[in-house]
Amino acid sequence: MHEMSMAQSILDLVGEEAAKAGLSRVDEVRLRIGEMSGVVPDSLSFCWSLMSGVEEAGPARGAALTFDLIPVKARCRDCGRTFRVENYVFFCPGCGSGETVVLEGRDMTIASIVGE
Amino acid sequence: MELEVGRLVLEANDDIAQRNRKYFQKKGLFVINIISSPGAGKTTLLERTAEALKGELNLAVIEGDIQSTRDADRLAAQGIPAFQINTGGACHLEAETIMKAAGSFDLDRTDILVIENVGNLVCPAEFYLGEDAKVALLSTPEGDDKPMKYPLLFHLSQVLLINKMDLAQYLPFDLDKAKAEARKLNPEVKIFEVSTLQGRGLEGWLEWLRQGAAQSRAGAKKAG
Repeated sequence: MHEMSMAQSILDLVGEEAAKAGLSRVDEVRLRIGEMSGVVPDSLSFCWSLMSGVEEAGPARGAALTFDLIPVKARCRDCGRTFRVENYVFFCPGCGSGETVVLEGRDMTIASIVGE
Repeated sequence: MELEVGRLVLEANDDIAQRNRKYFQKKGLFVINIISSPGAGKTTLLERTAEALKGELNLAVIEGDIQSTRDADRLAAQGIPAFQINTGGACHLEAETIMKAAGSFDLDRTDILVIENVGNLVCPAEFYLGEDAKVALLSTPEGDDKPMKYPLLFHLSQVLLINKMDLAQYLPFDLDKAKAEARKLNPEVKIFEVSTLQGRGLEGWLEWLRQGAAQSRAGAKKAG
């Protein structure tokens, strides 16, 4: 629903990072999208293609957007087991405890950018 | 060359939300972010809640809607301080607008700050606003399958209110299933079955608010 503003944030962050590192051109932006982040990769790609295609996109103009989908992982606070959350069941598969902490898979990060 | 970045795409919103949170903590406010579909009963819940807590705890409400001041007007008519944010088409509230809206209230006289998010089960869950807790409100006509269809919201919510229980007998709503699936998503969720229109079943909810408000107040005192 708001993939447009996500695409804008990515563009802003990539612009900042490129400036810091002195990159004049960014060819690829690599994302890590959590399975539970709520982000729809196809819509994000579509929004990205619109926003990165124009001059205002700066060094990220025309950059490819690629992503790895990150499964949801959690840790049990009772038995310490780390497990992959399947079908959104957050009970520990080892001891059945409901006291679990999510480790990853809930957000979207820019992992890296490729450019020169 | 490949350059490691490792930054959250929503970091700008999250940074502001953390600032909001610190400010609210300093003020001793208990802040909740209520999320539901349109028409699930958020505003009626707030009317009943403010009425029940009158003389005990003061509420202030930030209303998020795409358009109109209908909800803020409804609350203001009952003497509840309310500030309307019109997102003008956006499907959720973001942290930046919350601080501006909060500034319109006399926060020293406020115990509980309620953010009534835009009616939508998807996007509002993704944007942290600086609240102490997210509250999901699900009404029985929407169906018992909603938790599994919108997992992020039900995973993140500390409280689930199942509303319009007075209608449940006429609907194919499987209460046990809805509760069991919500618990899969968040084993520690507190679930209250209510009918906001009739003002029934609110005791547990009100008690949860009282405890939250007491904790926030104590936290602010301790910090001096």
